[in-house]
Amino acid sequence: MSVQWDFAACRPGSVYGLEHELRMSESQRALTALQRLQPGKVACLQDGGGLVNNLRVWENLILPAWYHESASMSDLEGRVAAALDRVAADDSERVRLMASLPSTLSRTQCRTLALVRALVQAPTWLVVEVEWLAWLSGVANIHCKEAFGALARQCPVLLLGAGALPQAEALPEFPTTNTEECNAAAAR
Amino acid sequence: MFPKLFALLPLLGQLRRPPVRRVVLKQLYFTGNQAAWIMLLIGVALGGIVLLLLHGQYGQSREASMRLLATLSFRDISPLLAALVLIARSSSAVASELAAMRVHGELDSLAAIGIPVSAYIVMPRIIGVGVSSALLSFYLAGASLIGGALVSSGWEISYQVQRIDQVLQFGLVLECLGKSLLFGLAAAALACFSGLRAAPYVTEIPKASSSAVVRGLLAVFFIDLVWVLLS
Repeated sequence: MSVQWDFAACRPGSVYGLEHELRMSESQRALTALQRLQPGKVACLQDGGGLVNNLRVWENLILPAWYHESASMSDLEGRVAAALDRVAADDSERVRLMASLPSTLSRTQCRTLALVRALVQAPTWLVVEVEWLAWLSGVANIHCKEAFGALARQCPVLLLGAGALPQAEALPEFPTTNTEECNAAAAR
Repeated sequence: MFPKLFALLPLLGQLRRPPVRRVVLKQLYFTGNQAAWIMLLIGVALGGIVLLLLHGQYGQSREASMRLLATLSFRDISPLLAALVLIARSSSAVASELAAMRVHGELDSLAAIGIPVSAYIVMPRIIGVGVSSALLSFYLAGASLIGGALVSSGWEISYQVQRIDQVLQFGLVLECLGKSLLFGLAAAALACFSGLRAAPYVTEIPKASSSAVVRGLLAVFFIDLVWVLLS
């Protein structure tokens, strides 16, 4: 019988963990359940950035908000500009950066852009890979750390990957194993 | 495979989302627009060849040759030829693109931000390639009539243009569009299938591409055979 997590019991500002990498089935299951509960409101901060290589950076940044909210272009432009301001992106480089393809960027740039995309998305849940968090805690600039800190205070964080649990609480589970009851409770 | 294809039908509702419509338009541009000039050139050459054979070698009159050209081109040759060009250009491109996305974990990344691969990647490509196939086939068939008229009448082509209603019926145009739409949908579905089924290794990308071409060719020829048997 598979575990059913009680995401509704998770509190903003708390960090929960799963000792499975994002690509593994247990993490995929957790992520799918979260996406079902909060469609379009789950941001994902992956080690490699998680950007799509055949889309320009601009399209990557707006994609989740554009897809789920069908937000207008002027609204999205404003949100991207505000998010870039929060991570103190270089003004003179912004136009070139927005027009570039992710494959031409460094790993640090991709990780920063993943945070920018999450800021644009204004999520209610954050899913973070352990490696991305290690980068943030280490060499990432202070603006990225502050932006992530502010985001993490507003919503629960689910940390994925080996070494997640020592830094986080275990995800709360439903006491019952009845799937229908779990789904009903989650919906409440 | 085919139940999966039918499972895509409810996904048509996803066309209300602007990013999905954008992918459809991009696919129309790359498959339909960029190949248009190739189809026009092939069409003119095809029309000239068929008319020269019918008139010069088989002794048909110019009017009879033009009528035969219209029937052959709109009903049989153009949908098939357009599908072959489309499979060579686009099926391989779609399959290798999807296989590369799989290798780089981009499909998982899309799923992680709540964007279904079937709605954002597969369905827009199938629609884009299907519609492009119908348009390209129509261009090809139309250009073949121009090529035939040029060979038949030379500079007096306006005479043939005025008589176009006598050689081309609306039913032929509909058959051309329907048949090529079906070819395009099948080729695109198989290209997506080949790309998404690829194992996540770089060496699988060219294999997915060639597999999409082979599967597409087989599908198109067998659909054409069934169409001819049923019609």
